[in-house]
Amino acid sequence: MSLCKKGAVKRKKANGDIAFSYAYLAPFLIIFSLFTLLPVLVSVFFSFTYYNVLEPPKWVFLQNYLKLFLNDDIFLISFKNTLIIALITGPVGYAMSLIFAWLINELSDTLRAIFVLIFYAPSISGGVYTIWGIIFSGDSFGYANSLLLYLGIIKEPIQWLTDKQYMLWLVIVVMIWMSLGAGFLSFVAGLRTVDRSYFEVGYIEGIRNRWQELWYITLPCLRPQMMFGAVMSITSAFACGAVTTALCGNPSTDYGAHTILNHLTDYGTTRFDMGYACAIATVLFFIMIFVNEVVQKAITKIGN
Amino acid sequence: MKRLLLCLLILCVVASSFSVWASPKTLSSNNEGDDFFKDILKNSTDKNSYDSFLINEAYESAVGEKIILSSAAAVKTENEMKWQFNADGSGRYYLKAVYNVAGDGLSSPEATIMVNGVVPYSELAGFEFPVEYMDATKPETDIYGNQIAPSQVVSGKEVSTYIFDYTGSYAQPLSVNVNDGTNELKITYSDEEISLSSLILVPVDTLKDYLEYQKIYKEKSVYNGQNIKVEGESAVLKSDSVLSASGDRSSPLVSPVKTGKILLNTIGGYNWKSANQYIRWNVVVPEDGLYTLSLKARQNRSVGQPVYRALYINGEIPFKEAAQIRVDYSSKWQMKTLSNESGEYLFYLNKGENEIMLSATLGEFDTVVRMMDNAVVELNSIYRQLLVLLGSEPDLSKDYKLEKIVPELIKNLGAQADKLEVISDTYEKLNGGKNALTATLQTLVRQLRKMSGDADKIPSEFSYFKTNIGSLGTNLALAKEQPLEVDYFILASESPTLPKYKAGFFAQLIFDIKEFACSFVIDYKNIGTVDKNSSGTMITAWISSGRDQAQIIRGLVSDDFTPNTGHKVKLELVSGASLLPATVAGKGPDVYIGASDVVNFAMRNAAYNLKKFDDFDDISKRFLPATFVVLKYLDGVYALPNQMGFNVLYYRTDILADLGLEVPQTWDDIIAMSSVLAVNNMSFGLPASSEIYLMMVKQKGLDVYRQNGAVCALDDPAAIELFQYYTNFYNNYGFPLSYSLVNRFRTGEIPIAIDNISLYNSLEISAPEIKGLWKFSMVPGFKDGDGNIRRDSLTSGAATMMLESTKHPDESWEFMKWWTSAAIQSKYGREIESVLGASARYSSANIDAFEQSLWSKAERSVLMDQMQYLNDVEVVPGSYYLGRNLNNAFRNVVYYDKKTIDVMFDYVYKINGELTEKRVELGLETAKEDR
Repeated sequence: MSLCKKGAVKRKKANGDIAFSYAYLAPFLIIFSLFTLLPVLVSVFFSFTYYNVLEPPKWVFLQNYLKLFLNDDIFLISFKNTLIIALITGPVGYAMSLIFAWLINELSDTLRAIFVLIFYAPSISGGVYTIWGIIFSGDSFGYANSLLLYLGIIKEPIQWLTDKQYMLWLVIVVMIWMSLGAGFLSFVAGLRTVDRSYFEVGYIEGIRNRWQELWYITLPCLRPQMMFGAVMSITSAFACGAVTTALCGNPSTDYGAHTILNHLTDYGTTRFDMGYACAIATVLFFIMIFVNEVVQKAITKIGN
Repeated sequence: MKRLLLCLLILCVVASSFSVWASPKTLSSNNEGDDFFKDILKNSTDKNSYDSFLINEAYESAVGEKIILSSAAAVKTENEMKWQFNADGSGRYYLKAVYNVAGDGLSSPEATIMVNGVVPYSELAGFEFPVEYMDATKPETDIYGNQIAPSQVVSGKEVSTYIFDYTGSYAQPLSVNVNDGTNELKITYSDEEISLSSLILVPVDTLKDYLEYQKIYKEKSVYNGQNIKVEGESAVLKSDSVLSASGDRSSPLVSPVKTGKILLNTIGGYNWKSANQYIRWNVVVPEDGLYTLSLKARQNRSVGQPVYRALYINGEIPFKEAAQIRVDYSSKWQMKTLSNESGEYLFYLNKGENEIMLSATLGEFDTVVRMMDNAVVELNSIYRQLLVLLGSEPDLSKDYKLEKIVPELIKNLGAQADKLEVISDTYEKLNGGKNALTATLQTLVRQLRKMSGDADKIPSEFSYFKTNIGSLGTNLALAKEQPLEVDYFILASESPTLPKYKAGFFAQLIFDIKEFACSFVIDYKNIGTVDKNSSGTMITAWISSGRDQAQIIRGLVSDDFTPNTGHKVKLELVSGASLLPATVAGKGPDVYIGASDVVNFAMRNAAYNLKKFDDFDDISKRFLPATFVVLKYLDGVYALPNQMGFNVLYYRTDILADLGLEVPQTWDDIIAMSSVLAVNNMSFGLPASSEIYLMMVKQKGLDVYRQNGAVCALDDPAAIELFQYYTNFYNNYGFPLSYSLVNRFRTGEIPIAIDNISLYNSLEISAPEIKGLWKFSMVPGFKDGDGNIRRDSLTSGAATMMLESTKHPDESWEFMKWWTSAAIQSKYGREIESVLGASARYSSANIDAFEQSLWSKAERSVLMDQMQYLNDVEVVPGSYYLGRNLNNAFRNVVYYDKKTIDVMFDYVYKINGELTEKRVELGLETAKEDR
C-alpha cells in the first residue's frame, strides 16, 4: 500500500570504475577505520587482557568476561538500571521526537523555527542538565525542596540526588527532557521532503483521516529518518552516563543510578583496570548492535 | 475639543511636576545632607567609629600651622614613641607619617595612636602603614620579544603619606583633636620593621578651592612648549605589589604597542580598585610654570558608576577639586583633560623633577557608601531577629502575630525604608543615573514598606528579603571598587593638541586582523622563556592549574632557578587528564605539578621513589608529616606536597555573642549548643561526608586500616559507636544534610560551621557585608582520659611528582627542591595573590612559606595551632572503596534509619573484598585472619 516505494535504479558499472569508486570512498574509509573501527578492535583485544594502563597488558583470555558475568553484582545492577533507563527513555524519547516533529510541521515557517530551537536547545547545549542539579538540590533552598516545603507537602528537605528512592527516576526525567536530539531534527527535515502529490493520490485512493495519512504515507516516506532517529535514540539511551554522574555522582548511593557506562568509567579511571573496562565496553557494544537489529526489523513493518 | 485635550495635557504635566516636588526629600545641598547623615549616625550603634568621633567630638577646624613631631623629639621605648607638644588654640589635624619600612613587605606594619591617653576611635587602633613597592628590574624581554612584568619589591625608600582608614571608607585622611596647651601623642607599633622619622599634624582646613589656588599662582607664566608625556607603566612607586605594569593590546593607539607582541604599556586596571591604593610617577618639566594635565585612562570595569582618583602633586593635593577626579564608565579608552566648566585646571610645577600621584578614593560617594554599610548591618540584624520568630522557611498558613509580639521591629522596618530611600536618591543624584545598586535599594524600600504596612506579609516576603539583603551587600561591594587603567598622562600648555586616542574603524580593523593573524604563529606555551642559549639540561614540567599560575612559575624559573643551577625548565600548561595518556605513550613530563592521585601512579611503577635521594630526609622536614601520608606507598615516598588545605571551624562572632554561646571546643560542646541554635532557627554546618567521620576516627586515635592496609578497621566496636555518634548529628539533632555555606553563613542561618580553609577566600570575596564579623578557630575534638583535646583535621592538597620515566632524575629533583623551598613558595603565593586577588590565596604545604603568607597575625596563630593536629588517612590499594562505601553507609543510616552496626559490618565486608582483590592484582600479601 505504501506509495513511497520507488523502484531502485541500479546503475551498471564498468569494471574499470571500481578502482575509482574506492578512491572516492578512501577519505571516509580511512577516517572511519582509523577512528572508529580500529579503536573498537583494540578495545576488544584489551578486553582479553589485564591492563592497568601504566604497565604493558597481560593476556588473561576470558577472565574479565567470567568475572563480569559470574562475579560482579554491581554490573548486574548497572545492567538493570541501563535497561530501565533505555526501555523508558528510548521509546518515549523516540515517540516524542516523532510526535513533536509532526505537530511542528503543521506550523508556519517562522513558528516552526522557533519551536525547533526550543525543543532542540536542551540537547545542543552540552552539560545543561546540571541545571537539574540545582532544581533538585538537597538543600532546603533547592527549587524543588523549597517549593514542596512552601506548599507544606514535605517537612524536611528531600535528598533527591542521593536518595535511592528518587535518583533513577530523576535521571529518566532528565533524559527524556534531553531526548529531542538529532533524531528530532532529522524528522523535522524529513517531513518537509514528503511529496505533496502523494497525499493527493492517497485521498483519491481512499485515505479517510490524518491517522491513516500518517501511517500509510508520512511514516513510510520517513523510513530513512526513522532508522537514523532510532539508532541515535538507542545509543544515547544505552550510553547514558554523563547525566547520572553529573546529577548523582559516580558512583551513586548504593549504585542506585549506576549505568553500564558508569561502571565502565569506574573501572577505567578510578580503578585503573582498563582490560575489564574494555570487556564492559565490548558487552555494551554487542547489546547495542542486538537492540539495533530488533528495532530495524520493527521499523520495516511500518505501513504494512 | 482640542482645547480640552490641551488643558488635560497641561494638567498632566503640572501634576507630574508636583509629584516631583512631593517626592521624599533628596539631599539638595551638601549641608542639609550632612545634617541628615548626622542624624542617622547619631543613632548608629557603633559609638567608637570615626564617624561618631567626627559628629560628637571633633573640632570643626584648626588654627595655626603644621605640627611636626620628629622622632628625635620623641620619648622612645620599645615599639613606642611619645611626644609632648604645645598647640596655640584647639583644633583638628590630619595625620601624616614619614617612615621607612625594611624587610620583604610580607605584612604591612600596624600601629595604634593615642592622643592624650585615649585611642580617639577604633580606626586608629591597629591601622596599617602602606608599604611602597617598585619594579625589581627593568622589564625583561623573552625570546619572542614579549615583555615580562618585573617582580615587585619593597622600595626601602622613605614614605611620606597621610593616614587613611584601611577600608578606604573615608575620602579624607584620619584626623585627631588637639587641645589648646600641652598635648600628648603616643604611637605604638607591632613591628620592628618600621622606623618612623616623623609624624606630621596637618590642620584640616588648609585645602583651598581652585579659585584661590589660581589667585596664588596668578603671577606665574603658563607653560608653552611641547607636550610632556608620562607613560603609566613608568610608575616609580606603588602602594601595593599588585600594581605592576600590564600589557594591553586592545587598540592600535595604546602607547606603546607592537603587533603580536605583549608590551607592558599600561598600569592599574582591575588591580587598582581598592580605595587608598596609589601610584607615584616622576616627571621632569623644563621650567617653573603652570601646566594642564590630561589623562588617558580606561574605566571599563565598574558599569553604571564613576570611579574617583585623588591627585597629589609633590605629596599634597593642590586644590579641593583635584581630590575627586571623576572618570565615568566607558568600554573604550578615554582622554580626560582635568578641567571645570570655565576651563582647564592649571597646575603649578617646579622646574626639574616633580612627583605626581594618583590615589584611588571613594570621592564624593564616601558618606553615602558608609551609610549603606550601616544599613546592611542593620538589615541583617533585623533579618536575624525575624529568623528567630519565623524560622528560615516560615509556615504561611500560620498567624505569627508579629505586630503584637514585636511592634518596635515592624516600625523599624518602615524607618529603614525611609532611610534607604534617601540614601538611594542621594546616590542616584551623585551618580547621575540609576544602576544595579539603586535598583536593589528601591526593591528593598518597596519590600520594607510592604512588610511594615502589613505584618502578615512578612512570612511570605521573608526569603526574598534575605536575597535582597545579600544582593545589596554584593552590589555595595561592587560600588566600592574604583578600578582605573592608565595608559599615559600629558603635561602641556593651555588647550593643548593631544595625541589621537580613539582609533578609526579601519585602523582598528587592520590592527585586529594583524593580531588575529599573529595568534597563529605565537608559541603560547613558551611565552616568557627568557634564556636563549641551549646549554644546560632541559627538564619538562607540566602544570595543570591556570595560565597565570604557569606564567608566574615560568617567571620564577627564569629569574631564579635557571641562573642558579644552569638547568632549564620547559613548563607546559596541560589539562590534568592528559598526564595518564601521555605517560602511557612515553611522552610524559619529568615533573608534574599539582598531582592528586600519586599513589595510583606509584602502585603501577610510574612515579619515581624520592627516597632514593640522599637528602630526602632533610627536604621532607619542610613539610608536615601529615601531608606525606597520601604520598606514601609501601616504603616509598613518591611526591613532595606543595599545597595543603584542612578544616577549621568558622563562626560568626556577632551571632554567637547575641546568643551568649562560646566557641565549642569538643563535639559534646556542639551537641550542647545545638539546642540553642535550633530554638533560634539556626543550625550548625557540619558537612555530611565521610571526611568528617574519618576526622573523628583519627581524633579518637583509631585506625582506618589494619595489617598495612589489607583490612579495613572500621568494624571495630569503637569505630562503629563513633559512626553512630556522627550520624546522630543528623538523625537526632537535625543538622542540615546539604546547604550552601557561604549563603547561609552570611545570613546567619548557619552561624557556625566546619569547612576547609579555602572557604576563607570565598567569604572574603562574596560576603563583604559580614567582613570583620566572623573568625575561625580549630576544629572541635574529643577529650581523652587526661582531659586533653585531640583536634585532628585531615589534610587535602596537591603535590609535585616526578615520573619514573624521567631521564634526568637529579635535575628534576633539583627543580622539585627549588620549587618547594620556602622562598619560592612564598614568593609564588604572593605573586598569585597579587595577580588574582585575595580569592586565590595560596596555602603552601611548606611550613615556613605557609607562615609567611598574607594572613593576619591572629589568623596565623590559629592556623599554626591547627597544623599541630593535622592528620590524614593513608592511601592503600583499593582505598577508593572506603569513601564511597562510607557515604553509602551514612545514607543508609540517616535516610532509611537502618541499624548502624549492621550497615557498618556490611560495608566494611565489601571494602575488605575490594582491598583483597586489589592486593591480589598487585601481588601483595593479603589479609590474614586476625580476630
